[in-house]
Amino acid sequence: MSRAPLGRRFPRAAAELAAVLASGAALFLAAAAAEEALGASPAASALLEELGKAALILAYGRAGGAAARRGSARGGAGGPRAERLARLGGSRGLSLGLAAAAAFAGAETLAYFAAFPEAGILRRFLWSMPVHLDAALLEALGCVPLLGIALPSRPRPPAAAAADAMGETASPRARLRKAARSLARLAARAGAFLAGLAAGAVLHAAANLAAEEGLGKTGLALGAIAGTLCLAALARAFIDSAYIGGYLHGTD
Amino acid sequence: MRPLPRLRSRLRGLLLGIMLRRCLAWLAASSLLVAAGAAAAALLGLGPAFQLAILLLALSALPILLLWPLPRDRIERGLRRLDEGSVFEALLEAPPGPARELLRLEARRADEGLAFRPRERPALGSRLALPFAAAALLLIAAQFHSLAGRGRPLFGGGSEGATGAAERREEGGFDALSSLAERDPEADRLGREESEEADPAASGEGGGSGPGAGLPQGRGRRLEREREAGGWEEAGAEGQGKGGTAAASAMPGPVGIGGPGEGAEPEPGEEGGSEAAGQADRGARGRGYSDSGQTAVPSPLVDYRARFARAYAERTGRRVAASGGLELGELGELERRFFRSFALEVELAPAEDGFDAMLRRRWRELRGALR
Repeated sequence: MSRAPLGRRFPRAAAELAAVLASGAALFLAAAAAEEALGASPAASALLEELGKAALILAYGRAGGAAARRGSARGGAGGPRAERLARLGGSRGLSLGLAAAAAFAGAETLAYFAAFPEAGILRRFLWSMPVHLDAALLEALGCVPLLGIALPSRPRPPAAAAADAMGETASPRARLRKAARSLARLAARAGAFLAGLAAGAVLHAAANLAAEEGLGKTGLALGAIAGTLCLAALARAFIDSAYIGGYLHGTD
Repeated sequence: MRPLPRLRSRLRGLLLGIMLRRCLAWLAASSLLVAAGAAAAALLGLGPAFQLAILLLALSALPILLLWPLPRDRIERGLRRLDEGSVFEALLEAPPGPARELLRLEARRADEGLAFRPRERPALGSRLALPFAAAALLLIAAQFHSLAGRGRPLFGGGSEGATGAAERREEGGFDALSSLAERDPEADRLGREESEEADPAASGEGGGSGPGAGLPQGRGRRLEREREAGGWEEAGAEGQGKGGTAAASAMPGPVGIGGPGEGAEPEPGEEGGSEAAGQADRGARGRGYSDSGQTAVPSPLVDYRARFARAYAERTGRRVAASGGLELGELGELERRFFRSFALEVELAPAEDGFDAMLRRRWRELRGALR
């Protein structure tokens, strides 16, 4: 596969970086305004922020997949390769959404620093950044099945596959079964997304409540270490699921 | 179990290697950025908040860099390096059917063969050496500049304002100590007598010129300002004609300091002075519970504690000032060390005092005469 020249890649990467930073900062401003207007509690503000981040990650993932499909159609690619490129496009979009969530956390830290310009902001950074990223990675992992990047595929019965290949008209009962299967798959995808969102919101709310109670230096340090270890594990799971699973999808 | 586990593991290692390279690139770039920020702060005299902002920007960039999309072509190139017979790629491209099942078996066999192939070590890139070296050189140069120009290290030297103020205070203390050591007692006594003859009002005898009369000049001015600000009108007006020292005696020790001849204490026979002092005392302390919020007499103990806390916070940083975690014994020890007399520990150069020399000579002459 030929790689695009640097002159063409750089403007695209710069545009993507600008979009990521702008969307992260805009989400922070919107969330801060909404929290101030609603007078939200720490748990409610965590839910509000995670809803915004999940929506941003999902939007980036869908946009990435759609762009990859358009690129495949323009390049004349079809079949399994086009599907694989679309899946990797979705993974790429999810990564951009995660970078936007990191920009959101960075904007929040810089806003705190503007209000309290002192060295204690570093401790807050080490505590809050892993929490934000852990929650965002949980939501991104929930988006992976929703975007169809790496669904566990089940081998179809040979008779059904042969019938599909010959274009035979299925009976009403078989159609009904197929519709029920599609509905169940859709429900499973939506459930995975909602589970990721719920897990991220609960993690963020718990961290907010713990910080409000006052953990002390030791508690904050332990929380930062645990958050960073969790971040490493979730990042590995994301790479496995979105990139490797997306690329090797169908080999099972 | 997921299919092709060894291939997945190799691909994972490849992607984690890319992330490791990004980490190193970030480390080089952020070292350069922090060093440049420190150099700019040293040259332009910017405060530690500027360096902290640079550090925060660099730290915030790390997760964005790590989570940036991984390049698809690297995955494909890595797969092709591992796929000697193009079995994996053929499996990925094969349509459903019997041929696909055969390719799946071949792919499993190739995956098992990967266990005997050595792992590729991620190339960390020698291009990163240049930014690292540039950052190190810049940091060294900035450190030398800071040590030579400001006399303190680049990082962790405390704020310049606090350091400068502490140095000024210490130099002022040493100046006062040296002037105390160099002062001639005889000349002091003569000067005091001359000033009393020239300005009898300053001695506190007869009608004073105001509440601050008889006090050192700076304290006198301060008392004048406080009198004009209000609260002392009554006491000052009555004390002016009779003792002139009422307001001064109403002040606590450090402000109302001075001997009887200097007007700080009324003479035992001066009734007006003591009456005015009593009224001034009432005026300053308020009249009962309703005026308890307006009591203007500061506690010397509180003042000493506040001065100690301020000096301690300036010298040790804000984190100590905000913690309040000092134990009582530790606090007492620090206060004792802060307020103890430095004069007792300073070794003054031996100087021949004229008065002492004269006394010794007279003593020697007297002993000689007795013999």
